[in-house]
Amino acid sequence: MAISEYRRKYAYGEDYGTSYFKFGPIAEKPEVIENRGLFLEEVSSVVLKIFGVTKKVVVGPDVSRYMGSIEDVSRYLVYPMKDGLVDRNDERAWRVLYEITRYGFERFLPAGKSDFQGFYVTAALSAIAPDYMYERIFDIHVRIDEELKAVKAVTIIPQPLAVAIAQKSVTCVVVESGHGNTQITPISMYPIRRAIVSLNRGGAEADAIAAEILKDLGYGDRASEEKFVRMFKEAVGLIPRDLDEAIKKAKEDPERFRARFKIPGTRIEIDMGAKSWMRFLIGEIIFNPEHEIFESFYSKGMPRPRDTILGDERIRGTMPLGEAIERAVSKTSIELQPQLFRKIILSGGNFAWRVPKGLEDVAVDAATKVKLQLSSMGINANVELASDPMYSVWKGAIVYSLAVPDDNKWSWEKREGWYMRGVHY
Amino acid sequence: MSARSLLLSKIRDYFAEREWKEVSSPEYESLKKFFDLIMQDGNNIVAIKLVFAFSPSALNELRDLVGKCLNVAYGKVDKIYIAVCGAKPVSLLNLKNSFLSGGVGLLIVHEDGRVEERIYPRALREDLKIFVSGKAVEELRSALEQLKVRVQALEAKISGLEELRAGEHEKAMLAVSDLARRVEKLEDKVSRLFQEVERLKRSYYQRVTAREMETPVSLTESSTSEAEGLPSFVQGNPWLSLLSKRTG
Repeated sequence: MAISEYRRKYAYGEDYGTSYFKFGPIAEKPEVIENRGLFLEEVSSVVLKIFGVTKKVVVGPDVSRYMGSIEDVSRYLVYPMKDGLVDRNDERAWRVLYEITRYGFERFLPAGKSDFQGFYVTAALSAIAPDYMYERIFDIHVRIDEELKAVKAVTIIPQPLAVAIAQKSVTCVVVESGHGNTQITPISMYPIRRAIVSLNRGGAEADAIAAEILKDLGYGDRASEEKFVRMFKEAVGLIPRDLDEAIKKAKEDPERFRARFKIPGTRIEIDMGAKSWMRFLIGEIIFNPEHEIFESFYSKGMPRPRDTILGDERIRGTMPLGEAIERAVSKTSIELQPQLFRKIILSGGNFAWRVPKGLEDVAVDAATKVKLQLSSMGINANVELASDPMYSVWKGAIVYSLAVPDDNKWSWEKREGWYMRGVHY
Repeated sequence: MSARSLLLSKIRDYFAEREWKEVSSPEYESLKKFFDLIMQDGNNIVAIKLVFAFSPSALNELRDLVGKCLNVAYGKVDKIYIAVCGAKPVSLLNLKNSFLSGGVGLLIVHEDGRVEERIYPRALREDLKIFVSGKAVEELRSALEQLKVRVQALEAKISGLEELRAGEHEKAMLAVSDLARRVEKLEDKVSRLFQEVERLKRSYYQRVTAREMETPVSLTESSTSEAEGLPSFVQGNPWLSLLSKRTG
């Protein structure tokens, strides 16, 4: 297939992540801003005059400039997305999404290019984004095109499909795990929507167990500070090859597994000492929150991941990740299933775990853990981490913008195609 | 002003910056015979004991002091701090476990008057206060009376049911037993079917997956010339060809 000169110049990608918005025209990597907005229209006009501000909502790097000088800034700062979704009626959230989208186009609108008639834009949303989110995102782009003539055509794809495209895998399972949610999406040229399995858990579970560990170590006051708990989790957490075996070895030789976490900005150091075996709970809970060791934490009040109900089916919130992947694949045709198990791609910050030198016999990375879980079910699978987790969704969106032809118009039934100027708006 | 008073005022200032207030309620007068300060942080009552530890023996007494503080204040306050003046921080390292296991916090008052929080205290108690107003008690009594009436009505109904003729009762019991047996058999069949399906799936996966792993899947990759000059993630990407065929 030949890629037109126009597409080569004006293909544009957008990844609407919960924490970050990645955007930009075709390049090796995108620009990134935080997915948040500061509502200045509610702030004292005196402050605004000092800064010479006329905008009502600020996004991008400018947000940090104002934060120090505005009292009680949390009232004015809006993070529009939670686990990749936006509430239908949250107009402040939609306003922020409009502003960050417009920010991107203002950054890259080509000046003085006579051939420019607008970008071919592919936006990527969560796999479970409902129809109203698609409608609002289209509306945002239509409005921006009216104002800036920046959008010749726009389409929306699910983020797991974008990951598969970036990984150059036509048949695979993409497992996307963020803070509060994990999606398992089998893909065979298209996402197989009836086979998507969604788990109500993610990095938040690891944060919760890390907080319990801090309380156990006598740092209960710090356990309520989200940022502190996350730093502690990332510094000491490990994924065990086998939890029972790992705990046994760690208790037999605590010095080998000893973890020390220095609190930034202080001279205080948290020494896990003989309780260093608890490091393995942090990694294990992401992959198997059903292990009996967690029951005592649930009974003390740590939230148990909620079940998901899809039609008649109930997916246990604590289902081991390997079992959830097998459940998703089993909903596809029997001929396809072995091909899907050949390529399982793990994407998202929740899978970024290291294996410290010297602990390779006990600790594993996320891909090995999933492979072992599937192997215990009699399934020989290939599991890999997405090669560029930060940018893979955006990259997939760019390829999509390059390739899909003009005559593929948007279809709500198939949820694909171009929403096009001159046709739809 | 004595050295002790000066140091206590430094500690007060330290907590005042966190918007803690000193408590003067008569309820805590007895605690003040042992502790030097009683402060309040939101809903928490915090007791603070100041000690001077210029000698090694004074340091040893600190270990016992943790236990004494807990004995005096347990159940009466939410948190306890021991503020130490005169000891080098490094000499307190040996006592760290005593503080941690007791859940007592450690403040170090430096020579320059600076207060440093070295160990955070643990919450020592949970208070559950149930306030029951007179009105609420009356409502509870009324609800209880209503329940009694309903229980009596149910008992009457059950007695009525017990008047079923012996024959009919036995017939019903036989039918129920028969149903229970059939359900058990069905459950057993379903369980065996499920196990057989799982066995077949595993066997299929193992046979076919092993074969599939060896068989390369041929993909129509985009040719180098088509993607020349484009970023690396576009080059050799089979999706280019696939997506380009998706016409309307």
